[in-house]
This record gives sequence, C-alpha cells and structure tokens, in this order.
Amino acid sequence: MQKIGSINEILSVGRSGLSASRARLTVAGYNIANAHTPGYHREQVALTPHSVLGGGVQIDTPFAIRNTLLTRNLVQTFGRMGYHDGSQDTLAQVQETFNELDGIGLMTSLDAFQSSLKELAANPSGQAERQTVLGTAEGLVSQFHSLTNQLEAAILATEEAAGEIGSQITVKAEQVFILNEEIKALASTGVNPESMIDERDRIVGEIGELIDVTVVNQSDGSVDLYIAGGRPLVTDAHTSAITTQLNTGPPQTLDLTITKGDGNVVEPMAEIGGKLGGVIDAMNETLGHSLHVVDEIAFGMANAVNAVHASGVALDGTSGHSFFEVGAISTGAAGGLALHADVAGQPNRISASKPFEDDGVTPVPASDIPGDNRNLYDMIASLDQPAVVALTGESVQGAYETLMVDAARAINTADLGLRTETTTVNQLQSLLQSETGVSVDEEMIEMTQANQAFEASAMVIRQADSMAETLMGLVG
Amino acid sequence: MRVTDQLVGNFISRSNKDLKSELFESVRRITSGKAVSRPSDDPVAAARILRIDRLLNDLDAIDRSHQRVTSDLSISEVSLGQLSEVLANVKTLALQMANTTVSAAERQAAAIEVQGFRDQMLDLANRRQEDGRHLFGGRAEGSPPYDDTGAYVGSSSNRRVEVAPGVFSDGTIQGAEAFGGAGDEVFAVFDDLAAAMNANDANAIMTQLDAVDQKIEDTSQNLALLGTRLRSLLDTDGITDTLRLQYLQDKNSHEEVDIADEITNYTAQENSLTAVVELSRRLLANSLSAFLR
Repeated sequence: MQKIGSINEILSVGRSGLSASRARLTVAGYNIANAHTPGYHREQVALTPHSVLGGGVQIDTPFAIRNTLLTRNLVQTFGRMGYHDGSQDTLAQVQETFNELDGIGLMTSLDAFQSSLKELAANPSGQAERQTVLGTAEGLVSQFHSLTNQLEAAILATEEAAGEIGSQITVKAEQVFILNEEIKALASTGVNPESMIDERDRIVGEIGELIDVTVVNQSDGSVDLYIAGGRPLVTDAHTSAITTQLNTGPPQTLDLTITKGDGNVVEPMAEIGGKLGGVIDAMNETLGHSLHVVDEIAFGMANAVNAVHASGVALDGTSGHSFFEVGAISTGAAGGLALHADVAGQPNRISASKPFEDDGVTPVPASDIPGDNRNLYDMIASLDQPAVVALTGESVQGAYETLMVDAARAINTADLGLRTETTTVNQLQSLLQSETGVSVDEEMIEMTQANQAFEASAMVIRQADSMAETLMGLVG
Repeated sequence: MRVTDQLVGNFISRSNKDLKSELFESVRRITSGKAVSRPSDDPVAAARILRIDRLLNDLDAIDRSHQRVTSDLSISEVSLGQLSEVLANVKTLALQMANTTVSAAERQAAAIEVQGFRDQMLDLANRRQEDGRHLFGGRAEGSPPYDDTGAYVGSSSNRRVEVAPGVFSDGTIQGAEAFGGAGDEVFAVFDDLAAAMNANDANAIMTQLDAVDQKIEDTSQNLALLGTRLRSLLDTDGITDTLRLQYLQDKNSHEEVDIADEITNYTAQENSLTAVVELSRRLLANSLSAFLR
C-alpha cells in the first residue's frame, strides 16, 4: 500500500493550489484588461491534476481561445467588404458628377442647346434666338469642360488613394514579417507568444480588407501571405512591395505591380480583391471609361454638328463654317472643345439655311436665306442619329444616358455589396466574439472562484501547519 | 450563445448606426418629397425621369415655336380680313362707277380712292413684325415681299416649323396665299381698275369687276385656308398639353415619394431607435460587476 499524506506533501499540494489560484486570477485580470482590445482572444489557464497524488495541481502555459476556420472566413469576407468599400469610395466622387436630377449637367445643357436650335428654327433670322443658340452652345462646352475636370480630378484622387493603399499593404506586410520573426524566436524559447499572434492576426485581417490574401500557417508559428492568385506578399524570406501606375490609355487605367523581395517585378495572376481591387476596378471600369466616353461624345457630337453646319448657308450668304472647335482625335476632345472661331461672337454665321431646295438641284435664292430653317432641323437630328458616338454606337444623348446609368448601377452595386458583406462580417465577428471574446461577467466569476480556491488552499496549508504543530507537541 | 462585452458593445453600436442611417434617409426623402434624388437611388427610374425631362424641355421649345407661328398667322388673318373688306368696298365703288350716268370727274375721284386702297393694301402686304420680319414673303422675310409697282418679289416657299412633336406646319405665308403671287398680285387689279376709271371707260370698269370678284373669291379661299391652319395649330396645342400632362404624371410616379408611406416608415424607425436606446441602457446595466458594486 502506497504511503500518502506526509506533511510536506500536504504543504506542496496547498502551495500548488495557491499558485493555480494566483494564475487564474492573473489571467482573469489580463482578460478583463483586454476585454475591449481589438483582435484580443481571451486566454485560459489549463489546470491538470498532478500525476502524483501529492503533487497537487499542475499549471500549464495559458492559451488563447481561437477559431481558425472563422478567422480565415472573416479575412476573406473582409476582402469582399473592402472591395465594395473601395468601389463605393471611388465612385462616390462621381455620384454628383452624373447627377442630372438636380437640373444641372451635360444632358440638361444638350437639351438646352437643342431647344435653342428649335426656337431659332421658328425664327431663323432672329438675332435674340441666334444669340441664345451661341449662349447654350457655350453652356454645353462649359459642361463638357466641367465634366472632364471632375472626372480627371476623381482619377487623380483615385490614383493617389490606390498608391496609399499599396503603401499600407507594403507596411503591414513588413509588420507581419517582423512579428513572424519574433513569434518564431519566442516560441523556440518556450515563451507564450499569444499576444503577438493576436497582433499579427489583427494586421493580417487589415491586409485582408485591403487586398484578397491567402494565409498559410507554418509549423514554426509563422504565416505566409499570398495575394493576386499566388503572388507572395510575406514569406519566410522576404516581403513584397505593392505599387500602382496610371496608364494614360485611352481609357485611362490603373495597373498593379508587385515588387518581390528579390527585386523581381511581377503582375497579378488573378483578381486583386479587397479595397485596392475595388478602387482599381472602379477606376478601370467606371472612371477611366467615363472620361473616354465623354471624350467620344464630345468628339462625335462636334463632328456631327460641324458636318451639317458646314453644309449650310449662314445669314450673310457664306457657307462652310464649322460650329465647334474639336481636335483631330477623340482623346481630350471634351476638355478641348470650344466654339469655332467661324461662329464665336458671330451669330449671323449660324448656318440655318441650305444651299439647295429639297430637290437637291434648285439653288435657294439669296432672299430666302433669312427664312430658311431646314439646316437647323438637320443639326438637331444629327444629335439624335444613332452611332454618332462611334465608341458606343449610340446617339449623343443615348451614350450619355448609358454612361450615367452604368455609373449609377456601379454605385448601387457597390452600396448593396458593401451592405451585404458588412452584414456577413458583423455576423462572423459576432460568432468569433461569442467564442473567443471576453465576458467580464465570466471573468468576475472566475476571479471570485479563484479567490475562494486561494482561501481554501491557504486553509489546507494552515491545517497542515496545525497538524505539524500537533506532531511537534507529541514529540516535545 | 455566449455573450461577451464586445459583442454587446458592437451590437448596440451597429443597431444605433443602422437605425440612425435609415432615419436620416427617411427624413431626406420626406423633406425633398423625392424618392429618387440621385441616379443610384434607382438607375432605371433616374434614366426615365431624365428622358421625361428631355421630352418636357422639347415640348417647351415646341410650344414657343407654336406660339410664334400662331401669332404670325393670327396677324396675317387680320390683314387678309382687311384685304377682304377693302376688296368689298372696291367692288361697291366699281359697281357705282360702272354706271353710265357717272361723270368723268366722279370716276377720276373714285380712281384716286382706289389708288389709296391699293397703297394701303401694299403697306399692309409689306408690313413688318416687331422684330423686322415681313409676314407675307414666305421664306424671304428679310425684305418687302412686294416692290413699289406691287410686283411680288418674295419667296415661293414657306418655312416649315415643328408645332407639335413630329408635326410640322407652314410657319410663314407666301404671296399666293395672301396678296397674290408673281403675275397674280391684287395690286394689278387695283391699278387696272383705277386706270379704267381714269379713262372714264364704263365697259373697262365692268370688265375689271370680274377681276375684283376673282380676288374676293381668292381672298376668301385664302382666309379659309388660313383658318384651317390656325385650327390645326389649336388641335396640336391640345396634343402638346395632353402629352405634357402624361409626361408629368409619368415623371411624378417615378420621382415622388409616397409621403404617407414614408411617414409611417419614419415613425416605425423612430420607435425602433427609441427601443434600441432603452434596451441598450438596460443591457449595459445588467452586468455582474454592477451587481457586485
């Protein structure tokens, strides 16, 4: 029969109980202190009975409660949420640019120009009507300039935003790399690196919101990060740098470049995702495309009107006048659009008349020119002709309407996507919080229990001491 | 479910934020009265609203053209009415002067009166609108349609003007439709009649009476034609008004918010927000630490 219950054993058991209670109290306090720390996972003290009866309780290293599956899912959802967030941020810049519902914009100016041509058609020799046509044409030109300026400013801001996000990813990748090194070093010395793992997880989550990232856990406690279809962001050896470049097009686009730690520059192999992906896609699919289409609209409209106008006859009997000044190519057409010197400040040069009667043979008498309006209706019709805008094969208004609706749909999609993914993120975060977060109430109970256990262990020691004194008394 | 302190905090924060956001959107819709104030609110409806705005702008421009044409034709109708009256007076005068008992002096005096009528009508035919346009020269509205001899030098074509969507009407009147076209001017009748009176030739005056009758008939026909054009313009005005009403109804159905619905939503959201605030307060108060304190 095993002999148990020596005084020393009792004292040892009591001491281990005191240590265990102290450890429980320490960890509970640590949990309470970090109850609201972002990314913190509650820690627990693992207590196991000592293999030998007199050994008391064994205190293992505290460990954090984690859920790898939920965490990975959350990082991916952060990526999708970030994508829509990036799209929304980028597209919000042009929300008002294409908002014609407040009665100001390109389409409104186009309407005003067409209406003024119609009113001139009712009185083609009227000086007031002619001045109005030139006025609305100047208004239209100003709207093209304004639209171009707004889109160019949005593109510039987007380029800067993308560059900033690229820098953030690069910096965060370096932080993960450094944490990897520290975690590996601590793990090898047996020190608990839980708080560093929490910090690394938090940073990886932030990277995941900025760009789609695949996390690969290594046996040494480090993680490797891969982006854009398998391009390395963080590996055991180095980190990569993320940069963006503006391609002047047309259409203007943003291109992503990944500079690996060894200096090699590589292109993405798949969708980038995350906020950066959202920003780049919104830029390439909406902003750059919009500026391109606006240029094409200006180019198509100016050439269509010019062709008809030049074939007409002005009030002074001259012909061959251009109406709009526009370059030879569509790139930059909207920004460079102007009233042509042939008509600017010269309302009598508006060519309302045609050189021939409707039979195409009989010349229009000079005396009929003031009252002939047929060329004006041809000018109006030219704007409504399909395929005036060569790029889209649409009329001037049709192309702009498509542009506006496409931009609105993109904003709508980003809004909806952001709401959906935010809801998913919230749900996942709630699940993760529920499992790994700190409940102060639980920790209070834990502290109370630990305190009671501490007192009980102290009582064990006191009893052992009393027993020892009794024994000593028998001897004495 | 295990409830942690961050979980509670996040839930309260999110609920509050979401409800306040919905409440703000509701207030925005109620105060603006518009369900669609940005294209992204409803891209399809926004495109429809803009198309309707275009159509309404177009109708406004057409309306102004319509008003101008109607005004020109109405003034022309008055002028032709005056011509008709003058021709009736001239006929009466010619009938009197065709009588063999009338003296040469009386016929000379009548000739002067006819010449006066002729000059008055020539002035009327060459009258200008307030903006300088001549009314009866067809497209040639920049210069008098009749020269001093009464010969028509205007255009043989009219200007066509859009008076309703896709509907074009003559916006001018050329010689043949009023005071006579080239070779058929009413002034030649006045001249010939005055010459016959000056010549004291009763037979010639009788012969000219036929020409006067013909011009009375022509003018009557021209007036009828003008009346028809004015009635057509009135009809197209009705089309424009009907279209405008339809467009506005269509626009409102896409654009305007249902205030009753929106206020009901607002009240429900406000109640939810109040409930969330109160429940949050209670949830935060029900902690063990509060109990232990």
